[in-house]
Amino acid sequence: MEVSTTLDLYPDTTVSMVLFSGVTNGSEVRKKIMDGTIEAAVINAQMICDPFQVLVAVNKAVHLDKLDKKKTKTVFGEILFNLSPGNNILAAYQKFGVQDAERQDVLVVLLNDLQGQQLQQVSNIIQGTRIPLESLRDIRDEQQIIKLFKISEAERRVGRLEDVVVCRMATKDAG
Amino acid sequence: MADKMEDSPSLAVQQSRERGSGDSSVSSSNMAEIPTVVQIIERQAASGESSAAGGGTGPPGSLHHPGFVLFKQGAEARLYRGTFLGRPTVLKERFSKKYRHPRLDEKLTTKRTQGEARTVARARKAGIPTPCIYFVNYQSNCIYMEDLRCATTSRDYIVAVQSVGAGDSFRALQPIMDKIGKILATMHDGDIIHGDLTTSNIMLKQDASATDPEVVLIDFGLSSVSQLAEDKGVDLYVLEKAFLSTHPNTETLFRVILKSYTKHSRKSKDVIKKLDEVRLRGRKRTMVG
Repeated sequence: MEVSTTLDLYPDTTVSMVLFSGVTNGSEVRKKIMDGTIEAAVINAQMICDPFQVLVAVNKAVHLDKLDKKKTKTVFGEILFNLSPGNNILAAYQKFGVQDAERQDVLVVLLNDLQGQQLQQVSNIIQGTRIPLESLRDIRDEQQIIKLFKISEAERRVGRLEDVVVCRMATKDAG
Repeated sequence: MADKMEDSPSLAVQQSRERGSGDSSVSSSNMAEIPTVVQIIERQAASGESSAAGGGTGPPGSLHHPGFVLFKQGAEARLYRGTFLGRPTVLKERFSKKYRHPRLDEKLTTKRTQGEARTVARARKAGIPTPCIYFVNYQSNCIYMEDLRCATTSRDYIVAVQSVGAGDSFRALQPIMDKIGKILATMHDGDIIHGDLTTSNIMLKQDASATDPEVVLIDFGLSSVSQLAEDKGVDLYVLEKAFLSTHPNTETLFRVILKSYTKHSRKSKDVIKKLDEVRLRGRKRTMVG
């Protein structure tokens, strides 16, 4: 259920991703993130095409964190910011962070949780069911993603949706 | 040979396609049969050789890029192959030129890296297939991008088709030239100047599930944005020169590209006019003195 990868460019960083379905206490989770109890990126799973997209966002966040050039305050906030097409941090949190909905699916990203302790703590707080990461493809809301990223038909045809989004993410600050 | 002459060219191409893509022995036993794009891709994958690879095993990236292997060194950048977040990746590293003043050098190199990333994004928005960029490191001027699988350069394919020496090579290459013309038209209509159009920078991608090869443009390192017909004309001129010098006796093939370009571009008239002008006078030649 939990998928762990090491970042090729930063081998001292391990990334864990877990998918929770039917989360009912979104507001509580958000409060705990803001007060620092939860140290993780809790992402609105509907806005994610593929785990690769998340890894790309994490890689960039860790890269900027090491250079102390993040746009946001924490590496987890930076992950959310990287996922977003725009430069407005608040908008990124609102669209890609945990929502105010009664029920939602969230993807939790943890860093260097080698003993699994952080995951344990997060699981105790989040009221939802853990499901396989593969289910992410069924949860993704393509229409919403296309609309938010303003992906034209021509651009959509260039490749898979996750590649279109990843390329946008990677070239966002190129001007 | 008499039998071959009686077959219609399209049948010969269809037969070689039906023979199966994995059967590389077919090309050696049937010298007059034109290879398909898929066959060339597989042949290159098996032998690890292509004009794009320049030799499979090169010195590893050592200190700077563990897990990446150098495979090409150009005037501006080094290319490495490796894996990034589970995906086959090409790393393009722009290096500093020691003869430049360090601060200027840093700015220039970063500007070029940024420009390349920006143009790739712009090209994709216009619908031009390019490798997907995964990550840009502006500190080290490294671009990590998709390593195109199941692809070959149009250069390698044209060479392979021509080397077979069959009379119907034109028929086999024409649809591809058509596609190239269309992509270039879309690119120029989006006011994107590639800046280094050669048959090595025009890739042909075709995986197992595809019925036709797809044209993918690479290397936007010298690209720019311009509405001027002159710049677009020069872009085509550069391709024409590269095309005709690399592939002898291909004037008719290049004309297919131009015809397709004219058909698919909304602004082709002025561009072709400029192309003719540039052909007459040559590039960067002022008629003074």
